[in-house]
Amino acid sequence: MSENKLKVESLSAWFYEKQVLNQVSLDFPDKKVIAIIGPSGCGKTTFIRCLNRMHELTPGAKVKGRVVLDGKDIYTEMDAMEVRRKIGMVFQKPNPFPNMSIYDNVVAGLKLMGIRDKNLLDKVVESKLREVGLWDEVSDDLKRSGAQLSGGQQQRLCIARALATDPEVLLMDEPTSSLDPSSTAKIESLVRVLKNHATVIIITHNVQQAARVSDYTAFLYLGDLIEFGETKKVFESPKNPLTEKYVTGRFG
Amino acid sequence: MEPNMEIYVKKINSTLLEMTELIENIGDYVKAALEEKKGGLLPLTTEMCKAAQLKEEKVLEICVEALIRMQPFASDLRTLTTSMKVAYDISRICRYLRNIIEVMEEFNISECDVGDVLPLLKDARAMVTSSISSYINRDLKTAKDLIKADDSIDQRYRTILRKLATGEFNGTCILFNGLTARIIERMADHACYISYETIYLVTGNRVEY
Repeated sequence: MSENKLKVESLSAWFYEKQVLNQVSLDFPDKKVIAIIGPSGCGKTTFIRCLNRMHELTPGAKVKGRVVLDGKDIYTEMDAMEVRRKIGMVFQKPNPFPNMSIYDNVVAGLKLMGIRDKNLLDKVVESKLREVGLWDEVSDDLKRSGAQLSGGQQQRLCIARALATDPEVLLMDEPTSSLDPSSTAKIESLVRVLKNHATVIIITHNVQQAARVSDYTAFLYLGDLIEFGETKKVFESPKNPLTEKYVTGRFG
Repeated sequence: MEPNMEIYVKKINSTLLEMTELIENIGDYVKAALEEKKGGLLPLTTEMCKAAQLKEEKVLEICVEALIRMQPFASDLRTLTTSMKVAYDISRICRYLRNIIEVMEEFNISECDVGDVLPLLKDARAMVTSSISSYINRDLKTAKDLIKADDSIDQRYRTILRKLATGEFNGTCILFNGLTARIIERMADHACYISYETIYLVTGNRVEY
């Protein structure tokens, strides 16, 4: 396993009195794709929302434990904005800012950081749209609203927006669940490329997708981390009978 | 409702059992031919081996369809990959049995003593049947026992060779018994390969040959 980028130590999370994560400890290797799988309600989304301090934005939310990015605890040694700049997120449904152009969507994060240099912003827009394979499709009209793009294009735009701040970790919460097979294939290819620059943590309900795109897989069940290992091993010979049952479709 | 994967597993196992029946029948012919020291069974055993090969291809087709449709993981995935190997092993065992008939066609063995190869054949056939049965029943203990039993077959094969090399036999009988013992020893090896697949199927871990 390569050097660890992100370390999670005894992470527990609650919504009011209800505990949804139970002392999860996990090391995320640098520049790898890690899939988080598990049945609905097992705590996958809460888990990754804890990784960039989004969980704390929810009323009644509580977190205990440590999340360490490059040796710094993101809860005690970094401010939330810095965390979210370094740990980007792509959501289940494409959510481009509806009143913004394609161009403005990509640079929204940079502008929030106070960057106004037009040349720099132009370069970022082109490079990030190229990176997500969208440049050739939209470069003739960057002033068009992002909301006018197809679902697959919108999701790639959202990924470009997340990449604009050069995150070191990219969290993806079921990024293809609302996309057709062709758009899904493009996003999956993109995920494999993105790991050259960042650690990618992807939640998916589709175990076949986890097997296709990830280097490592973590299986969560009822808030517990049941198994974590190389994807080939988890899907060929899982150690835990619960993982076996889940990946063979016997429950969940 | 029965999970779809179980339907594929049933089809695969039923085809493997049909293959087993074929090699048991060929084995009976080979045993009788050795006891009576008579040839003439080559066309029949060739046809039976072709039938076994068709069934091997049927197992491959079922596995490929299951891979495409089910995209299986874990024990389901191991069931398919091991089934393809086991089907190949059974088909190969079939051809070994036919090879004994082929060797008999080459030599006049009426004067040969086949008293050493006949019990070796009996035990190797029992290993084959048991290995397939343990695969289908996911019987780990029997699979492990069979791998140990193969050492005894190897030892007896070497004993036969030494006896042939040092005893006073005619050239035809030396060749016939030596070749036949070698073929039977290889049959037992394939029974072992099936047992290795059983171990991988059940435990998820590969054991080195």
